[in-house]
Amino acid sequence: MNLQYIVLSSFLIFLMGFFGSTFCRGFLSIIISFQFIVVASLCNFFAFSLFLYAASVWDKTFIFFAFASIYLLLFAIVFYNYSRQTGVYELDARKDFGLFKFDRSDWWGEEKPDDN
Amino acid sequence: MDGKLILGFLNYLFLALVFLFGLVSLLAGDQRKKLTFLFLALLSSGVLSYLFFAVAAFILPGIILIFFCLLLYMLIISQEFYGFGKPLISAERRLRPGRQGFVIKPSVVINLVLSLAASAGAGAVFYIFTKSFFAAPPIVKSFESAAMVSIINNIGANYIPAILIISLALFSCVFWSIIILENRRTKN
Repeated sequence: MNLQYIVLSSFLIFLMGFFGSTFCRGFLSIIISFQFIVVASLCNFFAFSLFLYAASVWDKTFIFFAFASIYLLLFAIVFYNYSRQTGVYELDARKDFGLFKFDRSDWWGEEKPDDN
Repeated sequence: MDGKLILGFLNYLFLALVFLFGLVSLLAGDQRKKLTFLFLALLSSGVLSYLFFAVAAFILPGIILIFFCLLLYMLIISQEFYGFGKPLISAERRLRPGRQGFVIKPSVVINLVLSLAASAGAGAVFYIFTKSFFAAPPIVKSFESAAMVSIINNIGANYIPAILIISLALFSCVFWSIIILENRRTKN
């Protein structure tokens, strides 16, 4: 195994992600490109920790936290896109910030026109 | 065959597989194909991390990764099924018989050229500045893997990476929420 080849090929994956995030316009393509950047950083971390440091766990800990935070941020982006597409934020315009929305009909059955 | 040689071959094979699956998932037109090849690329990267003797360090974030992939897949399925976020195509355009020749849009060409130039520039800078380091890297004699227990002990003993990552995640979340609020204001 050669460290240079591994680092250069992981940098190639990073460049693919960079190119995709600058060139592509679709939401899914950009998310995929971000994931390639994450994968390239993971390969780099593992390769450097394996080849250069004997039995260091600092980088593994860092990878654990970094992976968790990056994917939580991607969760946020995906949820934001979903909410924009499905119009969840339309509730905001109606001054309705409740997470669970209960109407009278939820307790008393279907509303009749003469109730109001 | 030598065990080291087999390990090296497998490493290069899975790096090539990650690159190839990734390229296909970027270039594929259909969203489901994109997701399938993305999953294959992530699977290859998982195998690669196993080959790097980092089993425990991949399993824990891998759980989050699986949930993320599930969420993304559900989003794309709902997009395909309900048509969320897709541009409405007029009936005239849909009924048009075929494309009218191969048209090159200048905006697409400029975007492609700029992206390629930026990628090539970054690649050249990386190659030039790391060449001297890779001439004689201080490689260790024997490879060792980190066990789960030592990672947990390290998390307990060393708070710096956790503090750094949590503060960065908080900053990015605040930044992201500011973007969302700005968008809402323009909408209202």
